[in-house]
Amino acid sequence: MIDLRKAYDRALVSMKDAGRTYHIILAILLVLIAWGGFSWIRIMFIDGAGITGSSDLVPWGIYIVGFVFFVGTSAGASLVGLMIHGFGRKDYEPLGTRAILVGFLSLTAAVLFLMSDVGNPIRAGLLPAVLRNPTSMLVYTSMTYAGFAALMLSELFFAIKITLQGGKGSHRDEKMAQVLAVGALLFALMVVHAPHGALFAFLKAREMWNTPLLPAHFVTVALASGIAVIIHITIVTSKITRKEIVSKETLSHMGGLLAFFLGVTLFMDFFDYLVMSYSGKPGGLEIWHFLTTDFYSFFLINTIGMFGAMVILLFKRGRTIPGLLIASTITIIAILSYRWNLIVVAQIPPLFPGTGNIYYTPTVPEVAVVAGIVALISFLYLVLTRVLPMEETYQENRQMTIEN
Amino acid sequence: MVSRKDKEGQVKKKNLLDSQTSRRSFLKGASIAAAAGSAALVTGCVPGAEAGSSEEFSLKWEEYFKKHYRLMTQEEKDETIARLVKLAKLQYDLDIQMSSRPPQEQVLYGYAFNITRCEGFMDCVKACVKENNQDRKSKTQYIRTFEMEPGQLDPSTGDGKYFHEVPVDNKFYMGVQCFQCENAPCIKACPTKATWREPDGIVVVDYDWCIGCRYCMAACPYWGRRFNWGKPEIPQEEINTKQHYLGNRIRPKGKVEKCTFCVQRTREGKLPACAEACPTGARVFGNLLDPDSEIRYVLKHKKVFRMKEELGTDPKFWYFID
Amino acid sequence: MKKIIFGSSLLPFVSGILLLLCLDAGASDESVLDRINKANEPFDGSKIESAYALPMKTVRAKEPYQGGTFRLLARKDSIARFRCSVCHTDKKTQARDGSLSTHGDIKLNHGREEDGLSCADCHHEKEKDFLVGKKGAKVDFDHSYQLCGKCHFRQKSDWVGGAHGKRVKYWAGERVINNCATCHNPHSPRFAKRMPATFSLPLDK
Repeated sequence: MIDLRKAYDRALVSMKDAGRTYHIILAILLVLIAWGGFSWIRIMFIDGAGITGSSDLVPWGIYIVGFVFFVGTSAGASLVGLMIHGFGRKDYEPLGTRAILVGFLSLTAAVLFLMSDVGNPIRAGLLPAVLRNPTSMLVYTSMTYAGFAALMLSELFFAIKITLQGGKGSHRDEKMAQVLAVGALLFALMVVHAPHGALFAFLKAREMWNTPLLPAHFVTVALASGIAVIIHITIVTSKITRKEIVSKETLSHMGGLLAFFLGVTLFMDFFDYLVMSYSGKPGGLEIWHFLTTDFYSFFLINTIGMFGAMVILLFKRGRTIPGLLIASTITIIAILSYRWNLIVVAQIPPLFPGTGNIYYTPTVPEVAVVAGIVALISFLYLVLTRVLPMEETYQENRQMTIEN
Repeated sequence: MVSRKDKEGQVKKKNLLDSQTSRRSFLKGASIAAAAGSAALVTGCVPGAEAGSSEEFSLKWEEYFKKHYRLMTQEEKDETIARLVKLAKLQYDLDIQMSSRPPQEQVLYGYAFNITRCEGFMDCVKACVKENNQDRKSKTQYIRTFEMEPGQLDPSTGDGKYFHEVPVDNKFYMGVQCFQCENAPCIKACPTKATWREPDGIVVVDYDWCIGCRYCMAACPYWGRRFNWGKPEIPQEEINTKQHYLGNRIRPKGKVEKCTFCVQRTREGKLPACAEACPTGARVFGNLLDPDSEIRYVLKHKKVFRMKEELGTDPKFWYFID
Repeated sequence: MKKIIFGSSLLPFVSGILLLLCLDAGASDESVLDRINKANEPFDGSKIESAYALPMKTVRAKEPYQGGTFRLLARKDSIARFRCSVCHTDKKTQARDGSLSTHGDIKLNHGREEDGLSCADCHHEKEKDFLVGKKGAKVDFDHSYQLCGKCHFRQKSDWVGGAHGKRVKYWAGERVINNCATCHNPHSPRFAKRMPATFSLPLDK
């Protein structure tokens, strides 16, 4: 059915045709990947995690920030599948494969972040499969990745199959795609991402985490970050390639969804902080103090960013292409700083304040690993969107191949 | 350093002679086929002269495939200890004694800390670092002492960074460490069951099963756990050679460690290093299940409290006032 | 389709309930205090054979401990010029190099100023090898707690019980504890101020 030889030729042509800038970007990304890989090996096998900014008082750092962000993004990206197959919005169809790729690569990044954080990556890969602790949330969350990845890969398979058949697959394929899309979203939110909220919410040691709102909060933030990333990527790609991927109306609709999820997030945030401050639990007050003094910039970026993006997107006039681009960028930054607040600032108030406040600052090798991981998924994304038959470019490319 | 390396070389060669037979003997019981196979491979192929480094490699390889401590039979425990002793010889040029002494029945260790008596001399901290082979480079310490203002009874409000002549008038001192919770959040959090509560109440870590995810550190409300951010650096002459598998053996890089009430000492009937070093007798240690023990006397006759009792962690560490 | 949606949203609830069951099974059903209150059987210290007798000289205390007996470190051996009666006879003597060979360097820093303690408040005036107890009774140097307890009765009862002072080296085996003078200089019982033995890294930057 799928002629591999032909597919390979087409991929080669597609890569060659991509242009000089594309290749230069790929080369830069490769350098970043090498730098990150080198630092990763240094941290893991030579110098130890001591060269990262983490310490006994703030054991988790930027890796976990990245991990939670990318897990969220991968879960949120599944929403596009639901839009296409669940709600029957055919105008979303050109985004199908792209969204699955974003989801899958985000999950890859998340797992890589986790692997960079643990002290023994090889054992970490093996052991949870051998002797799992049924009371540890980390076991459940790490067990879901394989399932989620498998779901997304089969989703990808059917999406490509349908694309190759000219956008209209057989009834069975369409049905499969539908089931997979809905299943993937539910799995992503309920089984993958909400437990990540529980992962933190279960820890009674830290006041900022130990709130029952956190799993729900994680779900809305995940959806917001997934949509924001896809809006951002879609607009940037169509700006660069000067081709419209989806119509303005579709983007505008996505902007509306984003505004809705941002609103829900802010609403929960507001009451979470209100309850924390009003009930005056010492740890809660402490965090409030840190958020409003030493880490006010992150807190402001988080709240004002989310609020600003929501305001832009609430109005029809704001949901233009530049407006959407700005709003989605702000949202991504705001969610990143929300994750930073959630992971790092929550650990800053020491359990024994007499030990002194330790401020976590990422070090160069740590940043290199983060850059390497982000570069790796960007690289894969750039290559895969060129190589795989994407909905909107497939017809054209096929024409070109035939002509050649 | 140079001389140590030379010595290492000599030791490796010497070790070769007696290792040939003993290795085979302890391989007999090796339960995991992979480990046995690989070791046989190494013994078969590598010429004797190079066995120094390859022996280290094969020992480490076998170590990698061993079981979880709680699933090991006594023979398997003896085998892994024999390997670890050999590795210590190869790596540190030290003859260590490592025990896997199991918990005693009818024993539940408990600790009481006399706030009135503690004068903040920090002899406990020093003794603990030495006893437990803690990393000197990062200055890892299990115990933290706090200088407290009158009117406070929560060590989280004290000054944990004092270094001046003690005791200061009108201040009092309090130490914190792992409280060996009966209902420990760290045990619940560990994804690999690498940390658990022994029947005698001590929360221990199987360092070889720890993956270093630090979820337990995030879960502990008492800041009771420490991470090996690098390979522990201890001057060779200061290494405590009396070690326990679950206690003070030198930790590998990237593992979580914690206070074990000096399991290597207490299971021999000794006091923990901190209690023995305390010059003021502020630290009371004993068997909670023995009605005649000092700790039971303290619990019965003194006003005691535990840290953050409202979290339901049920720690076995009490503070009391004379 | 509905079945799938319904089914997969049930999944977290099912797994959550399973998790709770596991937590329930994993948690010990008794709190520490329950276990303590239940345990009334004295622990047989001889079960831990490695807690052997100490090399130091000990004496049996003349006080009951939890219905049994206990031992404490002997004191007389560590007093440099015991027996006192060698010099302190009925006759008056003149010591050469008095400051060196006698204990004229002792500065009494015990009790409050207004108490005005003197040597004879603790040392027996007639029997020089003994301390003085209740109603002028002779108190052996090894059992100085009988003297100290005259004033410091609360500390003494804590010491006998185990809340004051400390055991020597072993928690198991026969109970051997420090005597009063092991830790306190009887002539200046307060601990001297000094620098801590080590320090914790200042963690704030």
